[in-house]
Amino acid sequence: MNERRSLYRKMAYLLAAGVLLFPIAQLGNPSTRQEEGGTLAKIRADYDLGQSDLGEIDPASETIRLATLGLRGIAVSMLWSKGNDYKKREDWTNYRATLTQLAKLQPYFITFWRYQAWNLTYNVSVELDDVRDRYYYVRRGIEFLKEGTKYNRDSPYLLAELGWFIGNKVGRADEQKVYRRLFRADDDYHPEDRPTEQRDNWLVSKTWYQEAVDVVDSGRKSMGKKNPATFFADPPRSQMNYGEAIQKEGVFTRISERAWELAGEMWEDFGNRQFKSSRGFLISMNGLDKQQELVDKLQADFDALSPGVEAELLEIRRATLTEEERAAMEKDYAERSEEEVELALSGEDKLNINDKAIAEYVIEKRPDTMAQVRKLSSRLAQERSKLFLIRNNRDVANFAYWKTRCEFEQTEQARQAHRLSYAATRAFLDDADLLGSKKLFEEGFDLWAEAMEQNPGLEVDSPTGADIAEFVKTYARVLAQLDKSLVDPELADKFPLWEVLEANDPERDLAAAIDAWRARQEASPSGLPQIGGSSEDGADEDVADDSQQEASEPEGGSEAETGEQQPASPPNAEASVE
Amino acid sequence: MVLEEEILPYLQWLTGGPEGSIGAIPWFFVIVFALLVLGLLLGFAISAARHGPLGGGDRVYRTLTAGFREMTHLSGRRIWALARLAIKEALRRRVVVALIVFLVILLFASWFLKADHKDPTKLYMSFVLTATTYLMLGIALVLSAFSLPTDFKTKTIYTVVTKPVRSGEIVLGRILGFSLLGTVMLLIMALSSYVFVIRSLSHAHEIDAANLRRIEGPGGEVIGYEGRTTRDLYHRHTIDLGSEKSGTAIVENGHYHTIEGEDGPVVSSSQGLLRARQPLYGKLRYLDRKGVDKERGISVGSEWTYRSFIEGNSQAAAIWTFRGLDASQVIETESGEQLPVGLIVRVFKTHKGIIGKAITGGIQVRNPETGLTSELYPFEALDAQVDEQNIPRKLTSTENEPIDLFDDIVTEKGGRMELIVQCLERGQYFGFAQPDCYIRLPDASPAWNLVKVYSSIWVQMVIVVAIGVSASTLLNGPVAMLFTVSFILLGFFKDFFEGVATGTEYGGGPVESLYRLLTQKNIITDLDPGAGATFIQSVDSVLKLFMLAIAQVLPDFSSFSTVGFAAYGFNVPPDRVLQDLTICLAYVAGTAVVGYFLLRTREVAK
Repeated sequence: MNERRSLYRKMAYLLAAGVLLFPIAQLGNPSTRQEEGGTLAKIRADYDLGQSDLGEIDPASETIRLATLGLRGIAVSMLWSKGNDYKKREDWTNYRATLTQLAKLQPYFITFWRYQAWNLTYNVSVELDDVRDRYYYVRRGIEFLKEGTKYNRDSPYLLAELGWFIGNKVGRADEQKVYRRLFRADDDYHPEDRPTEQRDNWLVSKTWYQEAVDVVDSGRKSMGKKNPATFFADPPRSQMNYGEAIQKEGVFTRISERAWELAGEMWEDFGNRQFKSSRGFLISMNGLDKQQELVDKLQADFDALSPGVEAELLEIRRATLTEEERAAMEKDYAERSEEEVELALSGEDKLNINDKAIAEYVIEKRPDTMAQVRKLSSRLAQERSKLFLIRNNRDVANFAYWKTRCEFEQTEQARQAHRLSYAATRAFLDDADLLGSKKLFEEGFDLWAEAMEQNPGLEVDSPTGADIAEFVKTYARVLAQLDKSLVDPELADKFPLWEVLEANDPERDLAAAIDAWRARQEASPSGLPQIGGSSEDGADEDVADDSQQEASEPEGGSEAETGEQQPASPPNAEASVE
Repeated sequence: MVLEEEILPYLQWLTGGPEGSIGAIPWFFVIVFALLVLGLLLGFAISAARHGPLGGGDRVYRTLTAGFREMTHLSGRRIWALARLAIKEALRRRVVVALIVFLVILLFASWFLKADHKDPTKLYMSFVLTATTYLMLGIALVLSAFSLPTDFKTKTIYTVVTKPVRSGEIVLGRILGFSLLGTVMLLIMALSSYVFVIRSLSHAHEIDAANLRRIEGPGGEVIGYEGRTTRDLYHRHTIDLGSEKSGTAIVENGHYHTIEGEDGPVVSSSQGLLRARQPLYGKLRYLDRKGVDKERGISVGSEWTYRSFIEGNSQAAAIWTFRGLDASQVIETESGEQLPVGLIVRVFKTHKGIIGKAITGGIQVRNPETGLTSELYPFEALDAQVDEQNIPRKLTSTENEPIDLFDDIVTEKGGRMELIVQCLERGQYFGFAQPDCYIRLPDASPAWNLVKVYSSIWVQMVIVVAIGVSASTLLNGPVAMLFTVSFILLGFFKDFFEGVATGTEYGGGPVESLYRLLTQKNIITDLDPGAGATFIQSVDSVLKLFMLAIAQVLPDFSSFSTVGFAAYGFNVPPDRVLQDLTICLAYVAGTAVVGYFLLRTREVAK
């Protein structure tokens, strides 16, 4: 009997095992190229949970992670510590070798790739003196990040970081001139079929940023904690930086024109892009005016429900103020005692009327409108919040400035102003042609002023203003070599960019000239011309022409005097520019 | 290369030691004496407990005299026979598996090693030497710690002790046998490593003749060609060829290639991968910005204080005093006889200067006796690389008089000369350590240098064998292994261990550290005063005394390593090899004696 029971039991087990095979097969059947596989395989595919969805699978990495037999954490900690020690001892070869080992052990740890690539590109490179060695390590950091994107091909963080390194490190470092040249000539970085004009670091940076945006747009990965206002702005900003960089290098052809046109188009697209704000609303940068209109309309509707109610409520609230509060509020802030400050604050709080308070008051007064008031008030609060977010995000991206800048750079005046200012700088630094340089600068300044007048949205203390101020400072050096100065009223009166200069001279290099101009302006009843030059253009032009003629003689005379100094000064000047 | 501790001449090390210390021999005898006293006291205490004070004293005396008698009657033949037995036993325990493990490591090394570094030889050499060291220490540990205990356990020791052999011979036989076996394995590993490094890094490039740019002379004639090689092994070389299209590919990644021009330029395989630069080091001192003598330069805030810095465009200077210079060290060049010098400069900038332009420095040589100084010889600093400079024999003095390096600058007595390096640019700094400037003697043989590097691994292996065998005379296998592992680990971190014992490390002694770990207290803040803290620190002060005593007999494994020499391409100084061998001998002798007395405590060996 016992034997039979045992047999039955075993058979039952076998049967249960056999039956269970079906759901297990249904659940765990692996996918093949032809078939989707079981439920688990389908879920894995749907939610991109497979390891191959992260990026390349490296057998070496897999093996070594298994070979650590659960001690991966310890191995990783030891290697990080070793890496730090190598870095401290400036043993860059072993430091990089340690990073290679770490990469095998923690290939999916995004912070590792970002942190150590940053170390290579930003911290190791500056430890070396030779600019080629520096570039070598800048590139090693970039290569390291690229290696990271092989394992994590859809990480917007790594892709955007690549864009940042290639753009900002190569294009913004003090060594940017050399770095950009080396980057263009770097056959080992660029694919063979990439044309020379596409080898600009800003253009390459744009493609990486764009790839990061594409990943987010396609829904493969979220942008995580990245701010959408800057994340989506990166590709057009790289395009603008490209336009700016090639202009600084003296490219004033259709290429530079097209660069800014494209930047403008990309910025417009960015402005139209809808993205989720921090409060969950969908907003767009270009939606500001529309949103403002909507808020105004809702406000008007709300006011129409019960006209004059705000003033009424204010009166009621005012009546609730105590004598002490009233007295404290009437006093100047500086004269208030500590207690009075508190009292004044409490009083101001009572007089602070928001939409909610008004709505409550209206409901109290006219209970029949309750539903309508509540609905309208809530809508108004929501739309105001949206408006605030649009404004806030526009500020974060400096949206208005870059929009105006793209328009500004596409004007003929700005193009010519750039060309003339560049030519003037080269004439001074390369050819020591002082008179030629002075003339070119002055022609350029007139055009700058004209272009700025056409684009009033471009503030004087913007980056454009700072760039122009740099040209003015070079111009001042040219004048100095001609024994002239912007303090001279004849030159100062013709100079049309005083406000720009005043806003962009924090080191007060040209303080004397600015102070003299300001004093003259205050002394003159009508005031001196602003950015765009004199209001009496014709009269001033005559005077300018005369003064130029007058000035030309002493200039001619001083040429002989300055002639000997000229060869010595340009190299020094160039050094300081670099 | 980085040499954080100065290598003293062998005799000075043996008898005098570094400043403020005693030599190796006096120190050895101090330790032997201390161990002897400790051993006698311990032996007497145990014997007295068993046999009473008189009986115990008698036994200790007899053991001691028998021991000394036995030591004078050791037989080389018997030791050799026992050594062969140890080798056979080890082979039977399939020690060769370790070689297979090593080969597997080499096979998979390319997963972690890439030649895309500025100095791939350094990386590859560091890797193979470190892997060899750890593997050899592991083999030595397992062989030595388990051999005698297994014999005791399986009773095969009776087949030995029943023969006319002495206990000392058993210990020495094991040490010799395992060391010999380890030596053969080390040789095989060294050869495999050499082949691995050479085969991994050896390469050639190609030059497309069509891409060579002609360099034309004033008359339009071709005076040379310039261009670059193809990219192989993650790099390419710039080439500068003569009109015959032959020349040298400029050094890149630590090597160069020669190029022959017949039938189009043909690039040779890589040369100069393995080098054994032979430096003659000098003694470094500094002058500060006012020209006052200083032991060190200024700190630029680097955490690593190996180098200190001199300020540019001031009187600050780094001055090396060399000894033993003679005219045989000069080399013949196209510009006449010159004294070759190696200089490593670390540049620190406080402003960018002109980007792309190296910082200028100046070199002068001076007679330390007469003060006669040569004119300043400017150079452009190659940051953190060996700059191979040559000082011409025919120089001009600061008085503009022609002078001869060896007749006027180098002293007759002792061949002394001072070499002065200054930074000439304002706001910029040069950093130096003593080994950063040296006279370049002709390169030694790289192969022989590797032998010396492997000798340092051999020394470590023999010490582990000696400790393991001695420990295994008394302890069972696993315990002996743990004991030896502790010795190795503490040996690798000897400085830290000593630091804890002497109180120079943060965090206090062992108990205090444990307390801090458990309470998650950081290592910098003091413990809250009170009875608890006093108790912890009192216990620690006793433990620290023990630790200090143990630290005196610990082998400093980290300082044995000569991997850096091979990795940076420098010759291992013979003084260093002799010091290592002497330390090894001292450990073998010491541990063999300890092992003998411990074995005598076993019934089977009495």
